[in-house]
Amino acid sequence: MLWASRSVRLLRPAAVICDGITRAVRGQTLLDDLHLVVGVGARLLIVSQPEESASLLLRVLAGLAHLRAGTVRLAGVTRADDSAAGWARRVGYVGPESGIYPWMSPREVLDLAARLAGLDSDERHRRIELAAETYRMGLQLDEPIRRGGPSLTQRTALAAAMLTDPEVLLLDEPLRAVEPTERTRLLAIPGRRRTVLIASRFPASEAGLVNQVALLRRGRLALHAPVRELDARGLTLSQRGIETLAALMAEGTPPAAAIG
Amino acid sequence: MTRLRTLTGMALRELWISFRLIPVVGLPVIAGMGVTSLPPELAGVSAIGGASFWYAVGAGASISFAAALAASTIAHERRRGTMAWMSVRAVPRSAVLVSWFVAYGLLLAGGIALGAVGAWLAAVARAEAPIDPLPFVAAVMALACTALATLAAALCIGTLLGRWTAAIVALLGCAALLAASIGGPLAGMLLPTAGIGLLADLGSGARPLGDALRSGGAALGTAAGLLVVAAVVLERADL
Repeated sequence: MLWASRSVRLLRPAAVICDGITRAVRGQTLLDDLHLVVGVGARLLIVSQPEESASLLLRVLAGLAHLRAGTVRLAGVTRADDSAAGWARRVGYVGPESGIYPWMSPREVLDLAARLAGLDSDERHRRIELAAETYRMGLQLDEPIRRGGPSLTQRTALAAAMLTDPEVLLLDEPLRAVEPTERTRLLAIPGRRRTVLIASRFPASEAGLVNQVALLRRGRLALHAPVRELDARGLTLSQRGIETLAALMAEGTPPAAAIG
Repeated sequence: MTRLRTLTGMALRELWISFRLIPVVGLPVIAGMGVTSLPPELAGVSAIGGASFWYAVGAGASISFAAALAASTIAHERRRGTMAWMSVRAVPRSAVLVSWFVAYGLLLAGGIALGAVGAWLAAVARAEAPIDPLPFVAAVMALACTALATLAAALCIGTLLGRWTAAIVALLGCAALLAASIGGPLAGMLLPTAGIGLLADLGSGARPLGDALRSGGAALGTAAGLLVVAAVVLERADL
């Protein structure tokens, strides 16, 4: 394991570091000299104005979108390395488009993800069975994904991302097609040292799943605070609550809690 | 290498399930079979010359269609997130590109080989004297190399444009290039599309083996160069 528990506890290393990242899309600056540091084990909700900024940030972190300026560092590395044992086991990403062929069954998707990560046959089998149980695929495990609808597609995408036990998990509007109670269960991602970043347009739906919140406004970091800061001021985990907290902190109101 | 085999297997399966495999293999076969049913007034002066010309025309149309499919495929893979799914699993984008090239290349080359058997049988049936098969085989191999170069060009187009635009540009562009090679005196020139011209002009070709080697080499070199360009473009693109 990259992060030994003792060093995590004592040094609080950063799992994600964005250093002055800038990117425009079709003339609109969505990331503008953004600086963000996310500690190991954080569960961070990212909300943004415009809404595309948060999605773009996750795609940049996943190595899918390029930067005009700045650098990112994920789980201790600055760029994707092609070794299956390296990047694929450090970072997982689930975007709004699953990218899975609809004719594949969840078992085939998971098997492919495991093969690409370089897992041996026994380990592949063990992890697929575990994922099938965790994500409640049951009889649908060997059926084409198109028959299971968007819910099965999204659960399979998350299961495939989790298959390699990544240290940093990037989730862009995850599991929107899944029933809310089941969604909450699945997004309670296990692992105290696993860092999870969720980009969401509906912050209230992430209540209980995150312990930090960040607000990007016009591509810059307007707020990065613990969720308990909202609670301490009687604000809710909503777009309005987050913006109110950002305004209060910009006015110089002392924080009630530090980012842990 | 194992990863490339896995990806190529996936690409072949996707082609099979989406029915794209059928025209890629089937159209050159139909082109070869069609040569057998040509009326005598279109069969040309010599049996092998006529059969080769009409097979080159049919294969050119088939290659253009396969190129359109290949361009559309790579553009679609980018847009629908499949390439992103691979990319976040540390699969190099160039590996995905090459796997599609190998999948399309295997199918198209197989189809061309099968179609060539049909065209050869038609020529043998019409010939009054025994025909030397070597020039025909060499010309068909040069045609297969031209097909690979065309596919590489199509994949390059697919990395730059949207799905339908890429398909149309690849179809029209490749059809125009191949038609120019069939119609023009290009068989002896060092061009990647010269293989199809060589096959079309086989009846009057003075040095078919040498020309086939030259055009085949030029086509393979061009294919490699275009794949490198496509990989660079893909590496710089957002997924």
